[in-house]
Amino acid sequence: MEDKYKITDEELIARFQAGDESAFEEIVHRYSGRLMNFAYRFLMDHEEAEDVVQDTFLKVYQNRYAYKEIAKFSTWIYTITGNLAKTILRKRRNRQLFFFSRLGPEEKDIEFPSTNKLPESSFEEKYDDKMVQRAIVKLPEQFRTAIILRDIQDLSYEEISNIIDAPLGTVKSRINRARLRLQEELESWKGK
Amino acid sequence: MERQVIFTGGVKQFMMNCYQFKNSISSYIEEDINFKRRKEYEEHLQGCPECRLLHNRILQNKKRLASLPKVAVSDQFMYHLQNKILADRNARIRQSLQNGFSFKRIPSFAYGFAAALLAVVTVFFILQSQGVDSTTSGVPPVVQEQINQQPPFVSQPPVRQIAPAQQPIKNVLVADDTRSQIKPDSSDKDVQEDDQPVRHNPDYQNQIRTVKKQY
Repeated sequence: MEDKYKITDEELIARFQAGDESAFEEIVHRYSGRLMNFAYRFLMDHEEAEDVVQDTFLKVYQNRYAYKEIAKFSTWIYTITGNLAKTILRKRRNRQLFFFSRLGPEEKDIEFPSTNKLPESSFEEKYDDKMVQRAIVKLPEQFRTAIILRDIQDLSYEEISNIIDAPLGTVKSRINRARLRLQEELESWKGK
Repeated sequence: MERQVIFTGGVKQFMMNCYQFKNSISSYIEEDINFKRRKEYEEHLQGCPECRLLHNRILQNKKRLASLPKVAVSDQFMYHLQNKILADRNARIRQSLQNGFSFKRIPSFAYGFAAALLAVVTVFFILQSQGVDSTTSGVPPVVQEQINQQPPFVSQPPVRQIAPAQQPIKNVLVADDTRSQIKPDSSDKDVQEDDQPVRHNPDYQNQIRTVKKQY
């Protein structure tokens, strides 16, 4: 097990390019959780998020030779996931539907948050996680991507800059504005 | 918006306003701020309750986002992924079988390679045919070798034609006393020939040179 983790992602993809299918399985094992988390926080739909992650790995399988060791492998795979998630979002906008049956773990068996001010309690803590998730989904696409990659996925500014293909200053500005907008959304629900 | 100017102990100081404070929250939280701006930020933080509340809420939200439960894939994830990969592979095989042979699928460089190969083969055959023509046709190779080994044919020098009888015989030894009696005839071509340069066949000259070289 330790040996597997000593192998970098770049070495794994190189082995896969050389024909080692087990290297691809290891890549799936390493990234399925991270990408699922990212896709779900972006779409707030478990089934769609899983489709996005599967399509990501399918694209990696089909286009393994397209990866060149100029950028990090994580940058490459996150970019694929982000693009697929944005495509789903655009299709969703066209449909203008939201399927309640596909809610994630925090969303099941809850009602819409009331506009009354909630008491300070442990119940609020759980509730706030769901409110935070809903607030994230309400953010514009650019802010949503930036705040998820930074505050949830804990990627560096440089990595985010490569993934979203924007300058470092733009990334910092988007993250700051995303945090302010998120707080505004939460305050509007809390009925400040 | 301009910064507020305050005087503390007679020293002019700039204070950050709320707009600048909001723009600097992430820089402060991420510790990506210079010393001077940090001082101004902290001063404003102490002096403005609303901005202080905003700062605290944003810090809380950041921690909450980091501690959100991780969403995992379902148990059927690998199964569905493998099915997708197999389906994609089968679709590609099916498509390639349906398309069959197509000129569109031949890469463009293959046409160039084929043209170059054709040109080389054509030139080779042309050169080969020229080589056959240059040799004596129908001559057996053994005979050809013997011909090649023989010294080159040296043609005889052209025979000088002398007119019959009318002209006196030249170079006949005559007694000294009669020599003076014989006078050269200006019309005598032979006599004149001595004075004139001998006309030689140029091929003959070349052959002479060739023979000389050989021997």
